[in-house]
Amino acid sequence: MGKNNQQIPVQKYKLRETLMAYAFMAPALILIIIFVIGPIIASISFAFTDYYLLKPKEISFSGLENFKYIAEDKMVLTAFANTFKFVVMVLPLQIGTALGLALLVNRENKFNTFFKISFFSPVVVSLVVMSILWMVLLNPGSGLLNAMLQAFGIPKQPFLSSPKQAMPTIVFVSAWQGAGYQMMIFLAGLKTIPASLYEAASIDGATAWTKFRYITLPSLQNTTVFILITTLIGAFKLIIQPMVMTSGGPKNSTLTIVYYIYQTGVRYRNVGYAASIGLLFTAVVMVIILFQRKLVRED
Amino acid sequence: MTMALKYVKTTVYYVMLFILSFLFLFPLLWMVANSFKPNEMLFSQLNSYKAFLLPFNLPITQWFDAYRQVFERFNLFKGIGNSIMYGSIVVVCNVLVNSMAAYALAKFHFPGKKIILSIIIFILIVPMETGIVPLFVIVNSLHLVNTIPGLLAPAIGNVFNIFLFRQFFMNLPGELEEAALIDGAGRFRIFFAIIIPLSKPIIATIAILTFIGSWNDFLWPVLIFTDNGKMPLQVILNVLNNTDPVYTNQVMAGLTISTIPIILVYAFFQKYIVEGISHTGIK
Repeated sequence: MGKNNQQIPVQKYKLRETLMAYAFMAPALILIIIFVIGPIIASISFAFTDYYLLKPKEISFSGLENFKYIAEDKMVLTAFANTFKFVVMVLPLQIGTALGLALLVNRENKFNTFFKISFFSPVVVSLVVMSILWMVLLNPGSGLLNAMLQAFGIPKQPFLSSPKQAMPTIVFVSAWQGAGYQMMIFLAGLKTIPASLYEAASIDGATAWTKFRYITLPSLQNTTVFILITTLIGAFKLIIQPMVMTSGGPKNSTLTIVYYIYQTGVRYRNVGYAASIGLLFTAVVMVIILFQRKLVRED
Repeated sequence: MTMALKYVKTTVYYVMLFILSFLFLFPLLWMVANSFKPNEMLFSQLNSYKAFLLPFNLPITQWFDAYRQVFERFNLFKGIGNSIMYGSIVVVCNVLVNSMAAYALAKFHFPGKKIILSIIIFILIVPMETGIVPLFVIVNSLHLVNTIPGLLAPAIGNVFNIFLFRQFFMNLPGELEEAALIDGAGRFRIFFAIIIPLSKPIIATIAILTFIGSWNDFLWPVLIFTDNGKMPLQVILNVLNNTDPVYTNQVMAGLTISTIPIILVYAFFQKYIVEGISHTGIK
């Protein structure tokens, strides 16, 4: 008896409210289960099969066969290496540019809106438009960029047509496109730092660098962690730029892992194998994100 | 002396910012300016400042030649119409479906809430691009390949937007709802009559970001459509860039048509976009 009496007030959930909650969530949940969670589960299960897009009925369990094949597939290694190369180059360039721009624009000035719109404009341009546009600008023979370089006395560069320069070029173009977005997030972070901190530091005779090092940077820590993680995730997904600009070449120098998965699954219809590379890749990305969070936390 | 120094500093600051602005804008300026020029002029002006200027020495009737030609050669009207239609449907459904889910997750107590929230966070960090082929397999088994629902349905339930809506709803004061509940109003009425009108800023933000995302989408339509008549503008632009003979001025005209509406949307609704981005950052 006494036990029952106690349980009634402790009971947290009301049936009506629960039903209502699920009614509100139903459309989104159903769509997400089918089109988001569905593919995640399908990826995991396909990874252990020989599923082939044109022969869905002949699917059979193949254990770790796909993963053994990954270990021997040189293209996987190349694609992983290219992806890491891209991430390692684009992360500091893009985030550094974004922080620099944010610091410059954070001051009161007459043309602030114009500057912000200029830096942010490339963000809203689609990846396809931006890739086609830069392809034209970077054309080794008749592109604007080589014409500009020559005006400064710098010899013509091969850019996307050279295995050495293609990936750095894509890094540069991607940072150009994306930095405005992170700049906006940094700006939002900068706005939350109380001006009194800087005033107090000025009275104590702190230099601009000291203020930046001991006030701005520590106050931006949460913002920076957020930007690091989101930019990292975004960078790992690189596909449209190489797909449109280089088709992964020259000599596979811009073949990224997501692009290779796409090719394997779509062009070669080898869904099982594509899924197994995807699974491996997702695991690697998640480990890196967790590791990065831990590193930043311990700092 | 200090006055002079300050003056120099300010000048350097502005010059630097204008140079940086140019670095970010010059590809777009060049794109727009050269979409109004004949191809020969485009290439002959490459090493002159005129590359960035409109062709003022040409009669204005000739400015739109590249546009006329590109519209004749490719079905851009259809592509624009398709993109506007897809974007509008996705925006309306997306806002409705995700705001409702977010409202329940923000304001209701129910079993399973914690699990759903952690699944949402998990999905946020999974690189979904790797799942595009399995998604195709699922859409195929639902017989939705080469259909508009097949294109749009996967874009509607969006964990990121649920996340943004939820942040906003959690900060709404609860008094109005409580008063309405006491008056006997149902939850759906409260949501549509009280919460939605209070949420215009976040709705605007999500609507704009979703529209831009839908307008710019490329991978999924390429994969799911075989019928050229259904292709959105981005896919047609890629065709335009790969169909011989490729005329650079026509390509620039196509890119400009795709970009100008988006830049206008951005310039008009700048405030909402910035707000949306700030929300995501501060978390």
